[in-house]
Amino acid sequence: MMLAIHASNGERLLSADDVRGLYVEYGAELRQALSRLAPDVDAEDLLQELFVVALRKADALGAADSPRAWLYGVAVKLAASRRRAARLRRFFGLEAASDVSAVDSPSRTVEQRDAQALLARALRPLSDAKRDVFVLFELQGLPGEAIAEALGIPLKTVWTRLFHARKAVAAELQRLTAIEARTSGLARKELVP
Amino acid sequence: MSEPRPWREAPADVPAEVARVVALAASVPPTPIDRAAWDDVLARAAAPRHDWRLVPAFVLSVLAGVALVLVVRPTPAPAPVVAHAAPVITPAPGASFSQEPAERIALRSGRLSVAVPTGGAVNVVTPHLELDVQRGRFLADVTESGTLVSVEEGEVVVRTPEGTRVLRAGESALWPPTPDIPQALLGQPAEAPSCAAAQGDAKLDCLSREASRNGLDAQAALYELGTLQLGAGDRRAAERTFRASLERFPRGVLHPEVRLSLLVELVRARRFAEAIAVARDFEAACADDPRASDVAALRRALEPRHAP
Repeated sequence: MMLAIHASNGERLLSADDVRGLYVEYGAELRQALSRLAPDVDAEDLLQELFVVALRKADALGAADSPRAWLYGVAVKLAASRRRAARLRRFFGLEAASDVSAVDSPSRTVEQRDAQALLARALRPLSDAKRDVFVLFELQGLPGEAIAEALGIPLKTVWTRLFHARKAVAAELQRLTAIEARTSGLARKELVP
Repeated sequence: MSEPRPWREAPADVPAEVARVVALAASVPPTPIDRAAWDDVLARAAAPRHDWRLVPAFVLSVLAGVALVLVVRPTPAPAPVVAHAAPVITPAPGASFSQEPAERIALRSGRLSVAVPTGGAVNVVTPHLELDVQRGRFLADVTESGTLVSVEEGEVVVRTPEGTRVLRAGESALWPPTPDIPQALLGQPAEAPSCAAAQGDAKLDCLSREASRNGLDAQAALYELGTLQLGAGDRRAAERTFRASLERFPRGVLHPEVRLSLLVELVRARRFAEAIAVARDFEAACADDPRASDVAALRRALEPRHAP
């Protein structure tokens, strides 16, 4: 199905096939990023919502310097929105178990899986702003400029947030491994994947 | 100041165990995207949008509108309390009536006591008239000769073939009314010569004895006996006497007077149908009598009352 996307001034910017190309190119990594930004939410559902927004705001997407950064920016906003909704649902006791799609390669090793679980625990105490920067930079590999564009913040703010996020993550990871060492009787070296 | 490098590329900046955890987590490749899922994206994009952010605004608008209406609208006067209680009907034994609906009563015969509460209404139809009551208590008594209405409370509107009038508490009306009887039809007292000397019970015994005979004395005795019985208030006996006289002496010397006495008595007793029959008999039997025109006028006055 061809779906023509037009800007508000009538100029044709992106077709649905163009957006589909972005979906094919960045869909997998965006879905993984969404699962890291909002671990309790179905990333597949969020990804579809992300590209629905992309289709509806094709003029903004077409005008963006980096479509990838633009898509990440929407992903961060959607994840934040879903996190707030999930917190609200938990507050009212309405949280229901949902099917969470597999977003990571089935070929990952046990060490990778254990590292993901440990890092997820370490990220949990972080504020949303710090976690977003940390995930995009350290795990998704986005450069600082792309993160600044995606979040709509100055580059320096990105680095500042990253600095504090790294500090907090490192401390939390060390604290978690120390606790694990005390309870398991293993050396910390043995505990680290 | 140089830009920071990811930990996975510069593990020296961070404790080795931390760098390793992050590097391992970051190195997990994503599951390839299912290209067929793009159709689901298009389907969701084509679905109508529900902007839930507008819901709170909508709710607030509705609440504000309701509050505005409550504040601005004039306070209506309290609605009058209208009771729609059904009328309370108390029939006398033998009364014949029907109700359909409860506010419409057809009274064929007998007596009904009807109480209409405030706000109620009742319509009563009898063979002779029609009553409308908004509030009040009244009595309606239907006999063959007419309908008697007695108002105890409130007002009753009475509709008759001759017009409408309002009866108030304490008033009564009888329809049809008893017509005026022409003076010429009122019988003159007659005295049977054979019993003229007797008095009291002896006179009645004398007249009864004479009436059992034949001849003029018997006719005179029957007429005087009936008249005395009427005077004594014994209407049934008087009627029997007059009818016996007419049966025995239909063309007797006194048959016009006997007929007139019977006619007057029936009219006074409001037995209009029988009175009309007696009047017609008089007109046929006594066509040349000077009182025939008065009898005919009385009959004509009785006929519409008897047939409403």
